[in-house]
Amino acid sequence: MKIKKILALVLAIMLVTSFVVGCSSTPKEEPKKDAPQEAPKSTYPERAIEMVVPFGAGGGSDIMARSMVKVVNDNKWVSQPINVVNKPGGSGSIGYAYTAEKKGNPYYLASVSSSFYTAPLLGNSPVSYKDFTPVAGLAMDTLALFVKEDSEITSVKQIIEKSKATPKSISVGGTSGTSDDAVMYRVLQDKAGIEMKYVPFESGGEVMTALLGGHVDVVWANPGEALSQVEAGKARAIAVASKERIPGFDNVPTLIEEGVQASLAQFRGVVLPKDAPPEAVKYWEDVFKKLHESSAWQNDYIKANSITPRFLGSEEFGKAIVELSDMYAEIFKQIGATK
Amino acid sequence: MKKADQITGALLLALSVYIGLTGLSLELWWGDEGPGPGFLPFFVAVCLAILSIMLILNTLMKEYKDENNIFSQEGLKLLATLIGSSVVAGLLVNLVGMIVAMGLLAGFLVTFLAEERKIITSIGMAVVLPIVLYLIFRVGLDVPFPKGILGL
Amino acid sequence: MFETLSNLLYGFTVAITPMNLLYCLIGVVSGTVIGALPGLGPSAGLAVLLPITFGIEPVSGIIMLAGIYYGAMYGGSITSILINTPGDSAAVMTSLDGYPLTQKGRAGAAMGMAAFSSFIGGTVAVVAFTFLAPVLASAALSFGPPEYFALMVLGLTTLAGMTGDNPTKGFISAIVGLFLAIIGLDLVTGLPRFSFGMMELYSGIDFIPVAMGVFGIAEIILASEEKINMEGLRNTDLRWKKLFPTATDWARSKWVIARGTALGFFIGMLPGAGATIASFISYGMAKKASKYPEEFGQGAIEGVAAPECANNAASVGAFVPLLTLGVPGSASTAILMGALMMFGLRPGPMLFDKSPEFVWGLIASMYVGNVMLILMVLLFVPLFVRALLVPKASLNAIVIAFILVGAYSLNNSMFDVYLTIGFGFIGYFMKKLKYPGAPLVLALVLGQLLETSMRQSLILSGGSFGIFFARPISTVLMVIAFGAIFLPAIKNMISKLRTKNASA
Repeated sequence: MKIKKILALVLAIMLVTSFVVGCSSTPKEEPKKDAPQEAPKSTYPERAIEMVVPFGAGGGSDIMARSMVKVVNDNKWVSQPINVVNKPGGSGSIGYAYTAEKKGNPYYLASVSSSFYTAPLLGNSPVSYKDFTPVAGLAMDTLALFVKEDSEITSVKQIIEKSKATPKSISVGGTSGTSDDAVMYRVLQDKAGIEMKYVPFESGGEVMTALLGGHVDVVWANPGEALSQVEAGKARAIAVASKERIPGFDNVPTLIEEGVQASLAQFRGVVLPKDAPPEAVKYWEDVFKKLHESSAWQNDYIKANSITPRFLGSEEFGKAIVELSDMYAEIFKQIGATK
Repeated sequence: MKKADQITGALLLALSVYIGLTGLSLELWWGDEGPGPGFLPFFVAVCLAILSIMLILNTLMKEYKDENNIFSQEGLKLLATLIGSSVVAGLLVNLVGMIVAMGLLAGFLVTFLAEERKIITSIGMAVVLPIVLYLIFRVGLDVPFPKGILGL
Repeated sequence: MFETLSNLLYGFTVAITPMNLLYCLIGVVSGTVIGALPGLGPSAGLAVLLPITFGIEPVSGIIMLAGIYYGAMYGGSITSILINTPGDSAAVMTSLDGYPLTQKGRAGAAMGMAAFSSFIGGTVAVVAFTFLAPVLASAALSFGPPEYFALMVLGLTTLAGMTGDNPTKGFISAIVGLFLAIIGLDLVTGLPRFSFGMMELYSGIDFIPVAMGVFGIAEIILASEEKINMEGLRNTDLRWKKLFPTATDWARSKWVIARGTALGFFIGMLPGAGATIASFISYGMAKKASKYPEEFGQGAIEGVAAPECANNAASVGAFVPLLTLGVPGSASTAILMGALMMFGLRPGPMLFDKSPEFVWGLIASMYVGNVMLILMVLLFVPLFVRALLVPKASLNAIVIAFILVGAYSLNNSMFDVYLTIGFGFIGYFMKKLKYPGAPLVLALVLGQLLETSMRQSLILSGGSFGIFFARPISTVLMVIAFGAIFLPAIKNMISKLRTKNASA
């Protein structure tokens, strides 16, 4: 009797399982399953690679990593499967700490975005860029200042004038108090000698909603995030924070053109844990170079997200990381955010 | 129950003091920018302090009827075993991997909880459950479990 | 109107191709299964299944993902009702009355009611979405920080109804929940609060380990200790006919479902609020409006209907800002948005014009998906209910293993596993000492948004509390909230006075 019941249970669970499994074996998926059957050209990589994304699914880093892996897998550039693994939490520090722990192990890649530089400086992460081997830089992303379509504000100069006349009259929306957005807000205040109000939100989506609802006057956002609003005529960009104007926003002046000596760019790329073997670094450098040159990557990721493509090999990317980290350190020192 | 309420009341009061002090050490108020990071903790501390004092006062005024032994020996043993074995299984994850560890845990629990123990149930559980977990979470959902020495 | 209908018709031609029907079915089925696994809710389900859809056509991919989304929203109720372990946060309220119904031997009716009210909530919301999306989207935009704050205050008033026979303990439970909500990096300043130097705590305590510990693990320990009779369960009549809500159940639930659907849809549209809060408020309202408020928590059928219709309506509502504005309203829709971007589509105001086959195909598939969901559920309710016949020891062992694995899958982190075990330990003592669990989890969910919206509002107003009463929507919500707090007290006083007068 008892065994019969157990059998029933097992069968029930198996049934349920088979649904899930069934759905995973839908057509045209898991190219990784076929990949290992090919004869490996060199010994590395010998097993599956983890691509660690220190943020949740659906975010900017996740989209980059998954687009990247998709192109690489589609073209079978790597003989072993690459699995994207989300390790969210602690503004990126958990995923980075997890990867850094794998010192010398070339089977763990991690995606780099702004908190890779900022979290250690703010004392929120136990690991810093020194715990990683740079592999390749792939793209530059920046921020732009947006207003609602029917807003009176048309330029940064106006913001400055208005704030000088009435301090704290303009509200600026952005993500949390230590994000790129908040950094740029404080830099703008400092350089222009004005006072505004910073209203932090939990996510970029909430920031945009607050702008469209007229609850805040201006917001900082990645150009790609707001592109659809601009196209639909719901929001306008009034300045970009890059050194030069960016494609897709050709009519929008830079902060520098507007007389504010400030710029910001974050470098998206990929790193391995510290002391990764040189041949592995070389291997991935080549893979990412091919990725950068592929039209699939340029169209599906770079263009779709209004990002500036820029390829840097391991050595140059390493230098860029140090430069960026120093830049943030300098900004944090100026605005008094570093502990 | 009376004693238990008094003890928890005292513990909660201590917790409220800790929260309140930490709240004070963060900024409470930011002038014209509204409350600072310490405001809500301080507010929580005050409420918790009032409530825990009420709880203690209640024990002095209210009549407690039955419920002398809310914690039975057997219950605490169960609690310790279930929580303890779960923690041990958690620690085993790094050694043998998630799937095997959970199989061992389930096998142990079914042996411990069953009224009439049967070796076949225990072994069956320890073998079948990992297979099911593997199919659902690894094959179906592709969750990256920690793998142990067995590579599962 | 006519244009909408013809668009919808066009959408159906996309949605009911055999291939898309199949993807919809796969989505709904796997969503339900995932939702039923403890800890894995809609957002986790979407996150883990997202990569699977990359190889397929965008419209098929999104149809499947949408199916996973509302399938998981329903699936969460299964474990809530049968084993008191909410599969996800939006299903916590379902367990409050669903599990007592199971203990009374009415698991089938509870599951049936959950299915029907989910179906009604989902379908009505899709209809509303079809015809009113643009109008509603702009209504949702008028919700700024002060309105959110007022909404959270209103949500917290539902707490008062959950404190049980010892209000002091109920409120202690809520305040501790509020404390848990504080833990993590402060949004405004970036300072860590009560994180004890643990990185894992920087992003705050997730609701799910707390709910799974306090409800799931603690419940198993208690049930094993008290040898909670599964008599009620054993006597559950498993015949097909007995598995459905009765006419009385329907009579009691119909208005609850109507209100819950409207409310759920609207709250679902608000970015950040979402299905969980919709289910809380819907439950609270149902209890307030009920003629038998004392039955809530003891197995009232409308206590199952209220949160279930609201959370499914909310999951549809969340598509409004996503598709019309291009802003995701919840964790789940954020993942859907990521998926759209990877399909090469940019959600936003232009999506309807640029990719009509996509948008209308998706909308039409929601009608189809909801029908599939209810058919499937009705077929499988008897099977699910049979899970209760599994020997108790085996069931408990399996559930614990699934809870721990689910906790891990949340963030791929062992920390959440230990957190779940820890809250299981605490939950045991809470149950023994008669501290209700629901206020704790409710305050944890509402607390974060409450603090954020309050501070955002006060930054905007330059520190003045007047902002909460300076705007019409927040004023109305505040008045309702205060009414909900004080009216019962006033009523109580009046009736006391009356009895005094009568006796004098």
